[in-house]
Amino acid sequence: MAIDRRHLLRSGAAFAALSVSGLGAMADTSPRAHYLASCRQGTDAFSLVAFNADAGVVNSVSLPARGHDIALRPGTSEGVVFARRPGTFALAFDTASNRPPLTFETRPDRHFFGHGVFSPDGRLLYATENDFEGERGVISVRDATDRYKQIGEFASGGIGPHDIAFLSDGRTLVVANGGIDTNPEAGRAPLNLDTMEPSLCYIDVMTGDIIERHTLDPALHQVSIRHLAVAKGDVVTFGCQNEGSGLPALVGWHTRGAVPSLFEAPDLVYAGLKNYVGSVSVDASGGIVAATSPRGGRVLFFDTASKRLIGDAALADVCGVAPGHAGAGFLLTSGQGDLALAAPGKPLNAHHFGGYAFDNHAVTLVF
Amino acid sequence: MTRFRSAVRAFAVFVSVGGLSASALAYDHAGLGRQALDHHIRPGYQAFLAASGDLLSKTQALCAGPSTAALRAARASFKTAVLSWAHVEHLRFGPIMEDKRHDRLMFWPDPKGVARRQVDAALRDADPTVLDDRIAKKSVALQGFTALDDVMFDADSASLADASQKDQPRCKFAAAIAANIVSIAKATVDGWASDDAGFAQTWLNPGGTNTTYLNVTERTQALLQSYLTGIEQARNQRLVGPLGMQKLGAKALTPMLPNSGLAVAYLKATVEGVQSLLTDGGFLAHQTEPPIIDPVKGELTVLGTIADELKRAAKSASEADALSKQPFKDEPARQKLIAMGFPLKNAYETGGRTIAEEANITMGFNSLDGD
Repeated sequence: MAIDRRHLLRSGAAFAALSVSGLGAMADTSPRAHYLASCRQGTDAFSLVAFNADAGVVNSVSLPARGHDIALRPGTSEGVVFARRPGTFALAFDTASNRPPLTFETRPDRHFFGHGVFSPDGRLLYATENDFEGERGVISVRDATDRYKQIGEFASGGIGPHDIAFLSDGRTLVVANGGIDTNPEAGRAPLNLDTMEPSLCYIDVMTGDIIERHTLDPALHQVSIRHLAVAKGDVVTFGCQNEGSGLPALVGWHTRGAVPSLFEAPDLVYAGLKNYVGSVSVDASGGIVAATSPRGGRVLFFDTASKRLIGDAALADVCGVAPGHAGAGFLLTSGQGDLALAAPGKPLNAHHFGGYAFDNHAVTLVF
Repeated sequence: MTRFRSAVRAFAVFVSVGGLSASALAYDHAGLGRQALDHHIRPGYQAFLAASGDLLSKTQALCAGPSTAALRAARASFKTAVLSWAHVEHLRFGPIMEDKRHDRLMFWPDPKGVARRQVDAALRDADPTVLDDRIAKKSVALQGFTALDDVMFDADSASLADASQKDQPRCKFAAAIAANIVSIAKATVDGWASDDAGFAQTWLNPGGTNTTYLNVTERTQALLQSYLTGIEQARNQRLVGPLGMQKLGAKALTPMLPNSGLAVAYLKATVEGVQSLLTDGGFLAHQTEPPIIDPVKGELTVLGTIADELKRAAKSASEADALSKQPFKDEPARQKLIAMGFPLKNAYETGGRTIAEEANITMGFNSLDGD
């Protein structure tokens, strides 16, 4: 997930508390939170948590159901956490005030896919949604200055849009269309695996036009492109899950006008991902991408300039990954309550926090 | 358009390998893998192949000599074949996962009635490509038991017994589906047949250059994943969906196999299949926790108790089927089905956790189904 550094510095400095109605402000002496993530607490309570790698969770906001990714609003101390698909809620929060969070919903004939991104000016929120009757993906547009009232929608360019990010021009959205059709009546079951056609689409938000659409080799049509992180030079790195047979490469990159490519790694390395990458992130330098696999309990690091594998690490059920707040390496979270700092070639520094199952994604508040 | 369904991915909570502990070192992964192969995997697929072969021969006989008796025999054979598949459906590794074999056998849930529409179109248009082995390249909705349920059991299927219509397109369509199912079953059985070749060799030799099972624990992980997914699919989709209990106010899904009315029988066979994995497959025999001695019932273990609960859940399904032809709708059959929910949940949570702890496998929170 691409995050604006100036915004992070501002929001991080102001992050005295993730203030929530009923929780009250966090004491000034509490450890400062550096990251946010959705998580499960205990067996069936879901929340958005603020934490740092050493002290663990320092504050939380209850969610009505399992959350997924978080979009931070540039220029403010606010953000939005999205429901995990096929959830229909999103919750807007403010990390620096006692204002209660605002919950908003999709249209009745839509649901969220768990991801969204703000416009660079912080005024608009773009979210990936499912038009399940129309069997197509859409990008909703909401006004962040007017209680997240939906003001528009445009096609995502494929079925099952998942992650979404802005390029550095602040005008071009890149969307990972996973290609998998689902319908809420059938829960999370995929409906079209034999015909799925994942794609990477670039959309001009000024017009809603799809200006580029790319797919992987036809032989890889069951490799679903799902997660994105924009690296230095607008190199779009992406992570996939394989719905087909074999153990293909699952982490790739793309630049506009070129053909998407997959990072090379030894067969045994990709085999260790168990056909599933759950999240990708680029470090603060923009030069290293980390891809996590909770199924394999592995994280891989690639150099976005040389396109080479430069390291890996093991952590059971690892999925959340975000740039390290200190400016180097990555934060990792796991579904087993582990928080770790990691960097290529360095031993993993992990702490366990019982009772927390961190969800697939994490975002960084402070570099 | 070709489409298909792989409902398992809707639920999967993935399991991964944790660090080694004392109990993990004591766990007999090798013994479990061997027992699962010899006493659950191979017998299950062999039964499926035998039942499929019978379905094909009965269907071919029906086409050659249409009669009420021949149709009845073919339909009975359909029931045996589809339930034999339900018994092993939870196994989601090895040759059944190649060439989309697993997905080609059952197309459900189908909230938009895609399979029905495609079958109707094929019958209406007398599509020649569904009448022979070309069907293997058609939509998965046309290839398996879901389509055969329409062709062999729907309102127009009585014509299959019409002696004046030998080798009619509908019957040839049914025979082509049956032959396709046999082909899938045979390829699967062949893949598991020899210890020294095919997937069985991969199964029996984890580690080293084996990219499928990087170590012995990953094989146990695959079995546990099948156990969990089988239960979760049975409960959260096959049971909860047609009951309309997905969430408050949810629309009930049309039960699977609606023409033959085998939805509950299929559910029961699914539960029995998972129970067989627990018992015949070796999880019970390889448990490491010492039993509790009950003065009345004798030795009790968590997994033994779970196995008993699964038997009771299957019995509850039988009772529901006996009470009504629409068990998902009619009380008290519906109550019998609702009663399956708790033991299935217990088998998932307690049974899954117990196996995972004994084998030192982590039950992952971050699932594999696309998030």
